[in-house]
Amino acid sequence: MYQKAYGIIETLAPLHVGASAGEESGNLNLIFRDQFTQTGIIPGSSIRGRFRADMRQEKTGQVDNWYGQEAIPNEKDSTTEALVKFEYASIVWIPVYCPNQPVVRVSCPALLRRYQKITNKPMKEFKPYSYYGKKTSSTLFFNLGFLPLKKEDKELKDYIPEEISNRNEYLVLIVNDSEISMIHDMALYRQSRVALEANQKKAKTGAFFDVEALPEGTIMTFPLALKKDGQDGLVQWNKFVQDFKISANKDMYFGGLESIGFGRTKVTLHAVEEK
Amino acid sequence: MGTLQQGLQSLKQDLKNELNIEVKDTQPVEESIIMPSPEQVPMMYRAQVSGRCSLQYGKNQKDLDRWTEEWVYPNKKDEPSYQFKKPQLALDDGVYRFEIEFPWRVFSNCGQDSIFRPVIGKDGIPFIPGSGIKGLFRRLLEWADISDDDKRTIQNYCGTADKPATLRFLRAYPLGDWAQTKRVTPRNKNEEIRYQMVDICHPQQKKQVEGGGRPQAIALISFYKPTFVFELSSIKPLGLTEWQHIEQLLRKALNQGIGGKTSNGYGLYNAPQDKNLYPLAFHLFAKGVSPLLRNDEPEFRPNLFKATLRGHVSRLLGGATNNVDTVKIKVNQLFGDNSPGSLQLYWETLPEFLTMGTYGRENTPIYENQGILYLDVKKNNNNQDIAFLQKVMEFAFIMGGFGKSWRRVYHPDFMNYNTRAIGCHWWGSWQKPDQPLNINNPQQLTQFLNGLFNTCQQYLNINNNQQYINNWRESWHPQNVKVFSKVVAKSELITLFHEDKFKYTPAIGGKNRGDKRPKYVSCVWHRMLPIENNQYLEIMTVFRGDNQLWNGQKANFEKEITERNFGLTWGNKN
Repeated sequence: MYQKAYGIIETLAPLHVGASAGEESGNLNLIFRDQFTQTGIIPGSSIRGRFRADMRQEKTGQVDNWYGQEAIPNEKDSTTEALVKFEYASIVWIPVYCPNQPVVRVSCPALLRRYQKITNKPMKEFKPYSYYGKKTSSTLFFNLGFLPLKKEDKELKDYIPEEISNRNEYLVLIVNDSEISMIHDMALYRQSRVALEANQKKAKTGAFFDVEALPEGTIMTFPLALKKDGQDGLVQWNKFVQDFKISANKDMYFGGLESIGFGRTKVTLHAVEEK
Repeated sequence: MGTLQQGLQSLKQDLKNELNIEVKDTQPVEESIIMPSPEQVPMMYRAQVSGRCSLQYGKNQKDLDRWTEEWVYPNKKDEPSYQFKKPQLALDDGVYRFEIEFPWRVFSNCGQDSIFRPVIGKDGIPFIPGSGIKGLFRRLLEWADISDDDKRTIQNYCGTADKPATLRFLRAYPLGDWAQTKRVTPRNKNEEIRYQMVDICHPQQKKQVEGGGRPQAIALISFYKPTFVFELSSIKPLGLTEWQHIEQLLRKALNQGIGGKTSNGYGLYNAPQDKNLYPLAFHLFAKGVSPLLRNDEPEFRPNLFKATLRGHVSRLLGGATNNVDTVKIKVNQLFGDNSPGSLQLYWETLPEFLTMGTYGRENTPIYENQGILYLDVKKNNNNQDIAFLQKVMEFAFIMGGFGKSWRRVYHPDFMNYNTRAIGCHWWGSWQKPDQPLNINNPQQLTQFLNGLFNTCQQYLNINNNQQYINNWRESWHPQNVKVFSKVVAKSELITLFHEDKFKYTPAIGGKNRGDKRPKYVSCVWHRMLPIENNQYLEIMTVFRGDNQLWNGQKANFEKEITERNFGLTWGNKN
């Protein structure tokens, strides 16, 4: 029924998808989180919106074909169903900076299982505190305490997407599902922002808020699916890739605060081979 | 514990016998979290209390050193483990980059810690977020010399509430060793690693001018002579020419300095191109005892100019009126308090003129330098402020020096004294040919100081009021200070400071017998002002001071001065 595919997002700048300044009366703008692991996500709608807008910019005339035709006033049955479906992006690995230890990319079984399902990799058990890479000590500090590095799991190498930069530079570590949210919160990028007076470097009264974002170097994944049968016959993955003009990878911007450098990412798409 | 175990065993047995339920011994839960030693917790995650982490405890900076080292996470070369490498500049894959080398420090603050520090980004590397750069760029809209065409484009680039911005200000990041690692070998010690990003803020006006107040040496983090790469991208593809124009505009915007403390010269990368923007300029030569950072690392710090001028304005105005509030309001207007001051200052070290060294048996760190000091008053850009600051600048130059140990003449030049370096020596020329500094004899000095006293009163709109702030130690009023001077070929008074009876008089030497380092601020200024024919006007300024600090030596000290034929140049006889 569907041709399956997935995307890998590597953040090249802090990424904020969540409440923006105008929408909250408070002054801490949080990112959206997945309700089970409490880790950051990009909703499917945001991904779809960006993909659609980018395709529109490429002017291939294929936007309506892929994303569905909007209703034409006074014309019956003028809408069509989209051929491409998006789901939310979740974290595969999040880099955690903590003073006095190397930067570590962290994940948990729940997040890796989603990645495994999306990519159709063989089933695997993810054991907390297993790691892959060169370790410099047997424990690491995260803000909930000290965690042990137990067994090296060489198979984890297959769970580090191939296209990301500095793929083997960082140690990767699995923690418990119950621990990931705290470690994730420690890893988030936070910035206090303040508006200054137009003529002097002095804060405007009340113009002060905080924003949080996923840090640079976060690896995320999202599934997408193509309907197999479109109105004009068989839908082909290659055709989508062609119309979207994505070759190996593509710089894309997600979320808010784009004009001040948030949201820049590198996206790669892959078709899933059916077994 | 034994009883509990026994109780559980018997409960198990009962369950088995009566209900036929088998209870298995459970495996102990695997400990995922190791009991930490509190000492292993990184300093950045510790409470700022004494005994845990106190970054601002000046006497013992072990906590600060450890905090810094943990942050840097040094590699084998003791440089930061994580650094940015130089990327391809200009347009590359949709991102436009250019780099800027800063001649001195750049300070930015994330507003999130107990110590002023920049935003920490990927892998712990500090950087400047795009928001600050965009803000600075947008400010160009306020500039008078930006064409209307450019203003429209800038507005487009930055966006409005209804229209999204077309430019993306990605960020500015430092290349290479952002902590500025330096290896030093202190005297009688092994080689040590110092990180020059650890900066110092050292307010001492209260102590020096008003009397009282405790010296503080506040640590902060600033980039030291960084090279930053600025990154931009755009929603719509732009041609190279347009990018180059944007770079030009952004460079112009950056001329006003990025980050904080710009009035001190932080964050400025370029000598003011348009000299008219700075109505005052002074070409200065200097040597003296070097200021030190918190870790005793010497550094020539251009912010010494602002500190010296601020102190002098307080002294001078404190002698012109007895209204403390009036003085403080004026001083804060010019130099800033909770809001920025109107004075802008830029010190341009001329190429290859700064040298650092040591002097004497104690290896006192010293500097030699040459450069141009530019001054401007941005707000209320009226001539009154400029004219006043010109006079204050002359006063600072004539009467003492700038920076550390400015109350004393430079010992290596004026006395055979090999223990340590003391003092500083400044000479130079006024950039404005129509206003030369004509002080060549005591009469001209009297004239200058009388004129200055009147200028101060006029500046405060006061007519011949003889009141002054008499509980400040250095109010500049004839009742509070005496100035002696004489034309000499070499110093005739410097030896006085080294006579036993004066050396240990707190009002002169600044210390009691037995003190290793000066404990008090001296009530005496000593200057060898270079004048024509390779001579000097030797000037000794003596403040009334506290009787106790003088130890009954004031009359003796003045007697020694007059016996060497120094005349009273300014101030009342008694």
